[in-house]
Amino acid sequence: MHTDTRAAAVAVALSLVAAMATARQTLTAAENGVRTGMVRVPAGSYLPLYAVPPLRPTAGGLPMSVRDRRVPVPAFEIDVRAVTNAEYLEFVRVHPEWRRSNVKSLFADAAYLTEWRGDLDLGERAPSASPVVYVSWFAARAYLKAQGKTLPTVDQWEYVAAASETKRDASRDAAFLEQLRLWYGRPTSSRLPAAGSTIRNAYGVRDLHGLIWEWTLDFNSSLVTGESRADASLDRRFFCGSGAVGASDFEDYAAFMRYAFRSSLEARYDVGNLGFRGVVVRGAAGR
Amino acid sequence: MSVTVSRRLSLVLAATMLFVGAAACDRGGRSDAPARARHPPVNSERPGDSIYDLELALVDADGRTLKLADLRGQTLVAAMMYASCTSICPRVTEDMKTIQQQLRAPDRRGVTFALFSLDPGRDTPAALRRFAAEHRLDTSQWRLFAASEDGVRDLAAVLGLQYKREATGEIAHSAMIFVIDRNGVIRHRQVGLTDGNRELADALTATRAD
Repeated sequence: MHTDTRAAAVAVALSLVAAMATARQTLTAAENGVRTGMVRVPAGSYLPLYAVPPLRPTAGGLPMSVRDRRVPVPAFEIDVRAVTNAEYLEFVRVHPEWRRSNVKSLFADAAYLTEWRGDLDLGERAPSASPVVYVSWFAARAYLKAQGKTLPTVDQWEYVAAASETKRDASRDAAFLEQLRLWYGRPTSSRLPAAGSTIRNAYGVRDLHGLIWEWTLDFNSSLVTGESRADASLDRRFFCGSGAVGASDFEDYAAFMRYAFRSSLEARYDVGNLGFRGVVVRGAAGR
Repeated sequence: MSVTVSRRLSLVLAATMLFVGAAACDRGGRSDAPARARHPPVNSERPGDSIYDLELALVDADGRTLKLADLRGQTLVAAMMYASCTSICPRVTEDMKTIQQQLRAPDRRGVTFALFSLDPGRDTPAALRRFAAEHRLDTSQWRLFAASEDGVRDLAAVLGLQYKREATGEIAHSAMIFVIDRNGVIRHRQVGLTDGNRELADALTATRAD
């Protein structure tokens, strides 16, 4: 009895120490301003595949130079890897409205979490450490909102995804682009590998290419140009030779694919190989 | 609408297949499955798909706050726009006015012409009132709404409207007019500017008759 009490006291003391240590760690992370599992991406700029509006005349009547078409990207923090099935399962436990049998069809189509065995059961087709896929934009947004995060914008995603393993801006690196082409064409195994298991880029972010596609906050922004009436020209812009004239980089076949894919989505679609990760923008959290 | 949907669907398929194409040839593992599992939602306007499932706080041109779901019970002819827009929005608004004028008086009952702002920063109730005055909108039948940035994103996503805020402050967006029934189901999407509004008018008549 006596020993039991002492053991309990020791256990309490130990857990207190552990709790304090955890608190200290959290504090340290907070001081650094970067949350666990995220990395900070410094401000910079990138060249979008479609600078909008393309070739806008400058004051001198000359088309914009490639340099003018770079888009500034303020600093942000991004998840090192995509959200996993296990993490998403925890979310739907707490948010029953996002369970497969409860979700409103306005927010997710019939393929929502189709590989899961049940509402709260992953099953073998959805390994716990693999990225969650078959999730809609609405679902991704709801998950991230609960974490105090948001989806990356196309600009943020493309900016961080322009990094190779060694270079932050590898968008003109022929070897990197070739690697992307290979990744994009590579067979996927019948079950997705674990999130975080592929290439780590120069920012320390993993799996941006070659594991899954990822939702972006403004996925529905790539269809339009500065000219709204050109709305219906999607096919021309993406798939015809002449359409490529408006693009800033004819070599970046992988980027063409990403833009085409995004613009084919609707917010309620749930697609195999399409998952998501979060970002935090200081001063704009919970956007 | 069907044109847009099928074109976009075929794109999804094309893109999916591009990405996983090699895999499909490989051993028909997961890669093949997603492409096939993709298509149930050919028509996103299934019964039960009510836009009123969206929790969305609005403020109208009189500065009153309300929820999107408060519009339930009316037939909406709706569009997204922004007050400082000089290109497409005035045309869309004129299109909607034409639709309104074409309606015979008894058919106007229960129909609300709703404009939702894409510009949460600048479209204050006062800006919306100015827009309504400039376009001589009959405020007994027209309502203008603004929402938060998040709310605008959600509403555009629900409606299937594409938009992008440019560095110039302009907001490029699809020219679309929606007919939404009293339960919040989107019954018709007019994409782009058309000379006549025949199809939309027919959809509106059918929607009202339900």
